[in-house]
Amino acid sequence: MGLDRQAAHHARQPLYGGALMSASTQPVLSLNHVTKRYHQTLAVSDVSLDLYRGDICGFLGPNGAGKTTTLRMILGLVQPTRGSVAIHGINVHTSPTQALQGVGAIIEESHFYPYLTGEQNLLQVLRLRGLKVTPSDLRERLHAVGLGEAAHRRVRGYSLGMRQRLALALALIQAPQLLILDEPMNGLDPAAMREFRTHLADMAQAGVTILLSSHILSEVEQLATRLVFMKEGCIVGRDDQLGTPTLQLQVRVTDRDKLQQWLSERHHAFTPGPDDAFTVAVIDEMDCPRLVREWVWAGFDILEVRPTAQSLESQYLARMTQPGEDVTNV
Amino acid sequence: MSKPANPPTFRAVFRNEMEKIWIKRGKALIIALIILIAGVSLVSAHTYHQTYQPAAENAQNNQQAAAQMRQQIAQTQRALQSVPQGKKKALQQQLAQQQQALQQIQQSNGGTVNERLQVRSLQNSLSTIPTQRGPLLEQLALARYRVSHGLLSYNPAADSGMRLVGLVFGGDTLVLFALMAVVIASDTVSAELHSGTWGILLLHAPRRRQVYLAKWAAALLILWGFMLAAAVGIFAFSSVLMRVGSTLEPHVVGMVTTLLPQNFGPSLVVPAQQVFHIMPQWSYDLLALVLAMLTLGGFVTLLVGLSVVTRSTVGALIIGVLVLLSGFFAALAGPASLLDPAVSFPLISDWTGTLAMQDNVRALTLGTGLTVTLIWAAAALAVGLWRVSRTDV
Repeated sequence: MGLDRQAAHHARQPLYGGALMSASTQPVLSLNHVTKRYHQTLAVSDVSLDLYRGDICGFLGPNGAGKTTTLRMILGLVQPTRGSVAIHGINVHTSPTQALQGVGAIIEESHFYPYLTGEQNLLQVLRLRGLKVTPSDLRERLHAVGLGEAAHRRVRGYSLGMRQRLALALALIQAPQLLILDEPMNGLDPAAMREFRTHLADMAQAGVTILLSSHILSEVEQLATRLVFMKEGCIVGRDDQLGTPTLQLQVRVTDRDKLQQWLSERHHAFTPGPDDAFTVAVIDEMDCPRLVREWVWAGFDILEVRPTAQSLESQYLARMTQPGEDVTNV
Repeated sequence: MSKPANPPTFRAVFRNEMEKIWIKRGKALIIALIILIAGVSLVSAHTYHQTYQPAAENAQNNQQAAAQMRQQIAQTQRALQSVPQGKKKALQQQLAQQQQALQQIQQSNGGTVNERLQVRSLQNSLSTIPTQRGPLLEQLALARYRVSHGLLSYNPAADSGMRLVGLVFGGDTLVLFALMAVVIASDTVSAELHSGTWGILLLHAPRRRQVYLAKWAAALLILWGFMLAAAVGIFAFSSVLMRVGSTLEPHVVGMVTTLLPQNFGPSLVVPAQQVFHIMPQWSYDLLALVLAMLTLGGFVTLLVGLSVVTRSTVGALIIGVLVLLSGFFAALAGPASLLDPAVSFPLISDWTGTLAMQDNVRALTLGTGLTVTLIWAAAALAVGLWRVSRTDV
C-alpha cells in the first residue's frame, strides 16, 4: 500500500457512524500476492489486499469468484499455492495459533456438531479458547444472540437463522480484533439483520476490522467503508473511498447502435435503459468530462447526458459485467 | 478489547473430542457393551451347564459306583481266603470281572481327564502326529504341570469367569472389539470434513497436528475403556453364571511375545516350540488383555489415518473391515502375510505356532505379528499427521 492510499484511509469517514479510532499504519490483515491453484483450476490469482483498524471492507463478487477460497486462506484453512497472508504482521500459515488469536469468523454456511446442543457447541469453543465461564455466563451469551430458549436443544433441530445466530455468538466469543464474515446475514430476519448491522458498525467504530462477503448488497452498502470486487479469482476493482458518491452517466444519442458498439469496443460497462438511453459506469469522477469529450469527437449527436450517483448494485454490475453479458448471471 | 486468547491446550482439545464421541456414541457403546457381556457370558454358561454339570454328576456317580465296586472286590478277596480250594476258581473269575468293571468305571470318568494317562497318550501322539506338534506340546506341558501339582484329574469343560476373560481377549472374539474400533475410529476426521465442522474446529484450534493427536487419543481411550469395561463385565457376569474359577489355574504360553534382546535376529521369528511358559490364569488374562489392547490400538491408529487420507467415512470403514478380514486369511499368502497390518489378529490366539507350522512360514508368530501391526500403526500415524496439516478445508 502506498502512502497516498494510507492518507486516503486516514482521511475518510465510514458511511455508518462517527470517526475512526486512531488508525495504525500496520495493516491488521495483509494479503500479499496470494494465489491458489487446484490442479488445472486457478481459484485465486495474485490477490493483494491490506485492511486497517476499523475498516469494514465489502468483499463482493459472483459465485465462484474465489471469495470463499480467499477467506479460507485468510483463516488458514486453505494453503495458498503462492503468496502469504498475515494478520497483525504474523503469517497465518506458518504461525496460525498466534496469527488467528483475536480473529472471529463466520464461514459460509454455519456448521456445528448437530448432536450437541447450542450450549455444548458454545462450550466446546470456550474450552478451546481457554475461557472459563459459569453456566449463567453461558446462558447470557446465548440470550444475547436470541438463543436463550434453544440453548439445550440439539443443533440438528435449529433453523438456518438460529444456526446463524449461534455462528455469530461463536464469532464474537472473545471480542475479536478482526472479523471475517462470509454471508453472515443468511437466514436472519429483518430485525436480526438490523441488530447485527448496528453491532458490526459499533464494533468497527471501536476499532474492529471487518471483512464482509455478502450477496445482500444493500447491507454491504450500509456498512462498508471500502469495497473489493472479485471475479474469476482476481480483484477486478476496489473502492477505497466509499464515502464519496460514485457516479454513472445516463446518456442518450441519436445513433444507439453505434454508441453500443463504441462502448463495447472500449470495454466500458454499460446497461441499456429505456428510451434508447444507456447507463455507463464511471469509475473515476474525471471520467465524466473525458467520456463526453470522446463522444463529441467520435461524432455522436448527444441528446442528453446526466450524471447520477451510482448505487452499489450499479457499481457491482458495472464491475462484473462484460459488454453484452447478461446481468442476471452475476 | 479483551486480552488475546490463549492457544488451546492439548487437554482442552482432547476433552472436547472425548465429549463429542461420548455424546455421539455413548448410548450405542453402552448397548454394545451389555450385549457383548451378556452374549459371551450366556453362551459360555450354556456350554458349561450342558457339558460340565452332567459330566460332574457322572463323575460323582462313577465315584460312588467305584467305591461300591471296591467294597465288593474287598469282600471277594476276603472270601477267597476262607473258601475251599475247589470253589476258589469261581471266586477268582468273579474277582477278575469286578476288577475289570472297576477299571471301566475309572476310565469312564464323565469328561474328567486322568492327567497321568493324558501325559502318556500325548507322548505317543507326538511321534504319530508330527503336524500337530505345537498344540500337542502345549497340552503335554499343561498335563505335566497338573501332574506335578497334584491335579490328577481335570475337566476341560470346567469354565469359569476367570478363564473366560482370557479366552475372549486371547481368542477370535477379539474380532468383535475390532469391529467396535472400526465404528469408533473410521469417521474421526472424515465426518468433520463432511459436515463442515472441521473448519470451525481449526479456527479455534489451529494446530492441526494437535487436533489430530487429540482425536486419535480420544478414539484410543474410548476403545480401551470399552475393552476394560467388557473384561470386568464378562468376569463378573460369567462368574455369577458359572463360577469365579481359580486365579492360579494353569495356562500355557509357548510363543515369543516380547522383543527381548536375545530375540532379535533370526531367533525373533522362530516359534519357541520347545519352551512353554506356564502362567497362572490371572496373569494370562492380563497378558491377553494387554496384547489385545495393543493390537487394537494399532488398528485404531490405522483407521484414524485412513479417515484423514481417504477423507471418507465409508471409504475408511470399508478398507478397515477388509483389512480386518484379510488378517484371518493372511496365512494363505505365505511370507507375504507379514505385510498384512491385521496379521496379529489370528496370531493372538495362536500361542503355539500352529499357523507358522501349518503354513510353513516360520516368521508367523505373535511377536512378529504384533511388530507388523505396530509398524503399520506408526506409519499411519506419521502419514495422518503429515496429511492433516496439508488438507485444505
